Amino acid sequence: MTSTTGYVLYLVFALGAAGLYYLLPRTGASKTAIGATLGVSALVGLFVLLGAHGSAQRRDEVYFYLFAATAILAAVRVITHPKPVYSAIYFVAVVIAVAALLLLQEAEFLAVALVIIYAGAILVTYLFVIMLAQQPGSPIYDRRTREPFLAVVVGFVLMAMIAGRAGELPARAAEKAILADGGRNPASTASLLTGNTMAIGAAVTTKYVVALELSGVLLLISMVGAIALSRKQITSDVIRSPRRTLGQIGKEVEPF
Amino acid sequence: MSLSPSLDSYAAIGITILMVLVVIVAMLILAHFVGPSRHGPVKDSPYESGMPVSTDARRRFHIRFYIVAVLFMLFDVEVIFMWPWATVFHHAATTGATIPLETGGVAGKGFLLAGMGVFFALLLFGLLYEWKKGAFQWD
Repeated sequence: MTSTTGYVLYLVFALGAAGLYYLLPRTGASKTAIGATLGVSALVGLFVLLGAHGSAQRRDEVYFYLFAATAILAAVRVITHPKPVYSAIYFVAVVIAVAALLLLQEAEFLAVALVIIYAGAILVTYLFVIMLAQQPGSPIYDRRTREPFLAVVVGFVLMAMIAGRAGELPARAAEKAILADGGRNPASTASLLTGNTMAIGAAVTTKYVVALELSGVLLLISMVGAIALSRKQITSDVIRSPRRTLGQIGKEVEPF
Repeated sequence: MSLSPSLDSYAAIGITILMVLVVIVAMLILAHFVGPSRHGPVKDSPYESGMPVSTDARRRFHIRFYIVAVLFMLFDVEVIFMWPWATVFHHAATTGATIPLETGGVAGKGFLLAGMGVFFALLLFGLLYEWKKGAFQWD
């Protein structure tokens, strides 16, 4: 990647950051139109840059742009929508679009696991948390972003740093080899007979078997933790007593 | 002509998603333009011919629902680990195929079964612990 392209890329990211800053929910006059214009132009600029530097022989580029745009737009809606339940639904759209992008990379197992874990389990947990913590009406923290400027700057600087270095990664050579092979991943071509899922299974149950058992221990710890946090009985007179200060209940109720 | 070699086998899923979107949009448009629009206290209630609404739907839920969600997530992750193992184990058990190890040996179906057995025992211990602590009790 030439330095001129790098600066153009940073400019596109700055444009996107400004767009997102105006799109974030705020009190006072809405600036959604400005934000949407800036954001969409940044997205178009990014795609034009990618198209100019991408590989022309890939036939599934249409799908890449379709799902990438879906993922980015839905992700913006996740953090800009004032209603948390709608944000959760947009999160599902992000997950499905990213799963489709993974399918384009021939990572079938990862794509399906992403949908099952994120669109299934994590989303259910999100919705339960929303239901557990929901206040009546539309509270201020849903209608206004707390630190819009700092959040946008941190997020986009990180993204620009990763994207700016992406062109220099050694993976670029591997990608060129894949493209010379007609767009198929050589790793998956080698294991086409056994399949993607089986290749992962063989690695997880032999080379990484210790990591598998450790993740089992981790799951066990989280199970015990979930029970310890939520099965504690707190009698109602402890909660209602007005004399107790913050954190006092934890001292009076027996630990699990 | 096929646009994408890696997505061809998922065309059915894509067509299903497109059909769902078309049906949803068509139904919303039809209901908006064709359906009658009568308003009134009964017509505007959530359950027109059902029970009267007692409270607001946006109220706080009991914390025990959260345990169900967390436990579901944990066992979901567990299944994700078992799935690739199951394909390998089935292959190894039916064909007698082995996987070479870095130490020089080979991993047959016994090695695979033992590896998943330890993992499964850990999770089974967690399940029994929850059972004992009454996480599944709904009183």
